[in-house]
Amino acid sequence: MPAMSPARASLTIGAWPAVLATGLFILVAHYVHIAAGAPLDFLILETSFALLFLVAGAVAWQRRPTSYTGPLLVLSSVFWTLGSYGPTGIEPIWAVGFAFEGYYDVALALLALTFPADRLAGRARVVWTVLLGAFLVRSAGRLLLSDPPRTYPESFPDGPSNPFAILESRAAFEIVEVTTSVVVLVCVLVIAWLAARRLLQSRSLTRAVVGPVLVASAIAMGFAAVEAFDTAWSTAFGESFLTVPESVAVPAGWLVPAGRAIVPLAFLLGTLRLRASGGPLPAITARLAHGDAPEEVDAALAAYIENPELANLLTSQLAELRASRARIVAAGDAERQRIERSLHDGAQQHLTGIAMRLEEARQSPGIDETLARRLDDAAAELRDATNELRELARGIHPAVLTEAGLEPALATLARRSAVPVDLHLELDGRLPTATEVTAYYVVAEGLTNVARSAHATRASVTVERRDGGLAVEVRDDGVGGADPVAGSGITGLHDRVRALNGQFRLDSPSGKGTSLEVWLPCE
Amino acid sequence: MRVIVADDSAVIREGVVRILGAGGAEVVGQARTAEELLSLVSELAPDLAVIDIRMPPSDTAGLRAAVRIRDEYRGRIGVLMLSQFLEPSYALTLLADGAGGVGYLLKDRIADANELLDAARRVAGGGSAIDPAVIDEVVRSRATQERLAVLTAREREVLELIAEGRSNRSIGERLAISVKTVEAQVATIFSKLGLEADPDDNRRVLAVLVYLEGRG
Repeated sequence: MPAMSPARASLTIGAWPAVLATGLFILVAHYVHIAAGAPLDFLILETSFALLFLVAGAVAWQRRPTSYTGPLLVLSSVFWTLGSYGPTGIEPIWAVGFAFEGYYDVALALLALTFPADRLAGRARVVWTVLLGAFLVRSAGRLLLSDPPRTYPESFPDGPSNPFAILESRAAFEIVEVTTSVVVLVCVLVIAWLAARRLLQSRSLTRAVVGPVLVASAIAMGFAAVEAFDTAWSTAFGESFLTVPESVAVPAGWLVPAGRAIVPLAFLLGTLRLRASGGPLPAITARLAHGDAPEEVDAALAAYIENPELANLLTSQLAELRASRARIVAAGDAERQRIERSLHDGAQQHLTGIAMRLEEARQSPGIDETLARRLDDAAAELRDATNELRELARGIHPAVLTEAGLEPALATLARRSAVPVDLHLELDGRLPTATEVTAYYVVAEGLTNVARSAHATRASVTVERRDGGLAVEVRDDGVGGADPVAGSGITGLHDRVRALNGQFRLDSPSGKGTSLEVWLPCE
Repeated sequence: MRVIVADDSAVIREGVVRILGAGGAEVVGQARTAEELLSLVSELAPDLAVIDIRMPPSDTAGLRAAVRIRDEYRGRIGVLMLSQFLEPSYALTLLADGAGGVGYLLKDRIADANELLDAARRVAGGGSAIDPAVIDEVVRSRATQERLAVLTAREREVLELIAEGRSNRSIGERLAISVKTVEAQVATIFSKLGLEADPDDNRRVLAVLVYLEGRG
């Protein structure tokens, strides 16, 4: 079954209009309740819970504008207020409220199943769809099959008349009510179990970030189960299964709905906890700094990636990583240059000095023939050593690259390539050292690979200014099939290019030659 | 032959001075930096400056000083560059327009006193001297090898000697053939490679090197 993700575009209507409209709705409902003479506990608690959902929704919406956690919490606030119809005694409000009460459970179920990834798939998707279906059928029954309410019999001694009813059938109403409540009971229990399982399977850092909301959602589902069971029981048998003493009736009556209110509370606490010492954010920062457990950090970050604080943190960490990577590469290059210089200016000069002394000795008058031959042998060996040293120094860092630029350095690479190379260079003057050195290594490694494994008859190297940077291309007409993973040289090259914020592409279809394309910035 | 020797390494400088002195040249000054070299050159007006490519204050100071002397004292002071780098591009930089009076020798070459003296005399006399190793480096390119396939082995030998900056007479002596034969072969080589024949020894060095480097 494909994953379902509600259209994110619809969330762009903006948090504030939705939050303000909901706030206004709560306010109006509150005044209607006051006017209807609702009891004080009802006025205080009912409104507090609605506002709690609303505040949490606003915070979530603002922190993760593209996630639907915020909208779901705001929607829960609306459903909460809609379900607070009890004391009004106004018939249409009563009818609509009775029909649509408890829908916050559908919203919270979605939260329990999808927080924070916003992905609903597989079993979770089935069970949530069934839950929504049961709620819709129950609403239809309550709206269209009228029956005197049992919830607040004191408000409607004569039984209110339902203006929306099309069929007055107590039996039909009770069948729908009991059936849907049982389905809801099963669904919310499964959802609670799924949420708990997901929490237990998540890794420790992820759990630290998303744990509070998942635990609260699972608990809310538990309370939803209790309520569904009680609705089914009381409809079927005419009295509540849970009978409590009169003295604790009011607090006990509030306990079940209050169970749901811990979800917004958990969200708010989780948000506060994010930055607290010992909370997930310091832990994430610490692990990032150590380059530790990237997978786990990733998973945890998925939860709050749209959170601006974390996004900023990540961006700055990433920029710092990039800069330090570039610095490491530059430091390596500088070190190679230093070694090359010390080989040329130190060791090689000394060898030349020795060669001159040998020659001097060789030219001394009346020299023994055997000795002369030995000196000649020594001089020949010394010449080989000098040549080897020169090649070694060039391999470490080509001095001509630093001193005269890319053009002569690349000409040498082309000249020394085992495969004939067509060299096309379009450069205007010198470029930043890092760009030149990297371009040099790209061509060097590219040509080495051509010679080593491409079975090519020709190669071409193109280096030109493009898009404010430097484009480097090495192509051959060989067998292709170059594996970017197998050759550590290519991997190293890729890292080097990425360190400069450049682009790297290796295209090597089997039998169709290889092309290595690199773009490097010139800043 | 009045010579100034410039090298920041005392070992090399003393060795060069010794060889040149033994070969009959008069070493009139020694420099350790590019600045010292330039002021000595303007003060002493030698016939030849033997210059280390890498000298203080910066990496290419020696090369830049050499180019400056070549341009400022055109035809009057020869410039012989001693280099640790097997880089044809440096040699080409020094050759410039092929007016002569320049040389590019690898440092290890100076162990052979005769090679150094020979190059020094040629450059001081307004000729060119390019290290054979540099010519080998240029010729080793696969693309160049392909282009040189039209030449016989002997013609290639002659071509490489031309590139070193040798005159027809010197080539004839080296290969033990007559100057007339050399002249004939030079004409064949130039026509085979599609190069314009140039009687000037220095300009033909440049033409051949540019051709061999594939920059023509």
